[in-house]
Amino acid sequence: MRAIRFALALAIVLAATAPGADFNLVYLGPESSAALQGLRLGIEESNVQGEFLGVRLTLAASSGAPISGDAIAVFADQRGQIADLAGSAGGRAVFNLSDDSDSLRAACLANALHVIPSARMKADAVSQWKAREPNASVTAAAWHGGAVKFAARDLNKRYKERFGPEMDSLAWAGWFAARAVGDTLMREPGSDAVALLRLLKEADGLDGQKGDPHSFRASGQLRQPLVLIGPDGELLGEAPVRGAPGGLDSLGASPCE
Amino acid sequence: MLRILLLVLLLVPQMVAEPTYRIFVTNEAGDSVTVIDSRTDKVEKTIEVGGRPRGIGFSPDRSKVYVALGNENAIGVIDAATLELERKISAGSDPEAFAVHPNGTIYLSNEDDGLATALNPDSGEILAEIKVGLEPEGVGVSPDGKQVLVTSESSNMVHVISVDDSKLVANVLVGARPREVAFSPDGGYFWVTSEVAGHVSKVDRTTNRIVTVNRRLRREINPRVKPKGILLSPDGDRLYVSMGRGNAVAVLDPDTLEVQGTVGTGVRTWGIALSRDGKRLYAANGPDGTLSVVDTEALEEIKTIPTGEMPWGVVVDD
Repeated sequence: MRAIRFALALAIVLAATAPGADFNLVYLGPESSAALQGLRLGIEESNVQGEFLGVRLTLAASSGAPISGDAIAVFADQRGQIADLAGSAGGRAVFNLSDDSDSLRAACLANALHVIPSARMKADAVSQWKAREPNASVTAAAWHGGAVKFAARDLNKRYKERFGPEMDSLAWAGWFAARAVGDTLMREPGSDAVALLRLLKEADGLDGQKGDPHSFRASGQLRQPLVLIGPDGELLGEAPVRGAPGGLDSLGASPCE
Repeated sequence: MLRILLLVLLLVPQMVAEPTYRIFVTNEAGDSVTVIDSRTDKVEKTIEVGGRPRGIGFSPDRSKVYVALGNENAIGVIDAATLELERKISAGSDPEAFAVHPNGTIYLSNEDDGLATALNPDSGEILAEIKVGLEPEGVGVSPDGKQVLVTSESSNMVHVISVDDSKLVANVLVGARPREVAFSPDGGYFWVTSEVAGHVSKVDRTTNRIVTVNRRLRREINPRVKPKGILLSPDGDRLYVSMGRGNAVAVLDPDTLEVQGTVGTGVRTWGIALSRDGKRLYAANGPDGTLSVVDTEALEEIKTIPTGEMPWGVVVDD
């Protein structure tokens, strides 16, 4: 009895002095994906933050389902499979890192968070640019490896030093998803998967190192600025273009509001 | 008589040089410092200082102006009287901002190394390197000189460092992209700007907990607001906060953080400084390449002075 009491007391002391919370995360998709590299950088950077606060994230990568039972959130580079994945994720947040289909946003899935911009968002960014420069040959994307403004310089430098190639949109989406999860868990280390999803959807000041604060629309789409890229891959500018009415909501639709 | 005078001079621990009435502005993209006469608001000199000057501050006796040169991994030292760049001191990788301790030590942030460095500017010795979060930026020394605060922009924290042993004593999570800090004169509180979150937070220094946050600046001022520079007025009644792309400086109540007023400045206002009497506020407008001069009583911009390219930080010696 005394031994049990002692063990119990010891356990309580250990729990009280334990460094804090550990969270498991899972990635589903190809091992070779830039999204996975971005995720890895984002997890490492979250753990730099977490070292000061006693929070640690661990990422497991898998080429496909099933989702491991203890993962608090899921990251996926799986075009065409996000809706199924969200349905089988048991209420956990499923981060869509690569599928830009508009119908997926229009489905208003409760637990899908689309970090990569939708096709509609990119089209709106291109039209805003062309309204200013009618003959421009231009595409829109989430990220550009040569961007320097808004501390993009710092993130591009860290990615290139870590992996070699420049950061692209897919890598940025992975990095952002990991940092958003990390920052949310640092603030609320007592969260379970359902609380984490709710906090992510409520957050209004997420940092994508693109200047304006990022947040999720009711459709699950990440509200974010985009970059405009010229025919030789060069960075032309940002959208929303200056003066576009509606700010970040001038890019994309809001089908679920 | 001369001997007595010399003795007195030697005994006074920190003589402060006569004010030069000069305003010093770092030009991040111009690799220079613009010197302005605060009595005439005229540019007196542009000093070429080298790669990417951002943070700027005085030595305790105000005889030197220090400039963080990010691309040269150095602190530049300008003689405040002759306006000559005297030398450059190695300061670790990519120094961005700093604060000077009353004992003369420079505490600086090394942006791409995630470090805070304590540097003796006389000997050039690096006294300590403290590991902090990603992209450290704003640095402040507490009024009693016992603690140094460093913000980490990408880790969303204010790190509290003990000066005695260069160890972290607390890490305060605040809104996204914290950039600068200011202290209450009694040292009981500090304030911090969060650029991406759009917040200004007030933190109790005994508990290192946030006691008040204003999250409504974007609604109350304009949607493009990004708080950056922060200063308390000499009388302690006003907190001035530069609003970045909000193209304004706001006046907040230091206690409640309610907005008391705003003054329109130029495009992307970052660095701010106050005259000693608190009657003038100077604000650096990056893409405009100007310094706004604000009458703080009327809360009006009364003049803009051209600077170099992308003015970043500003200090006044008056």
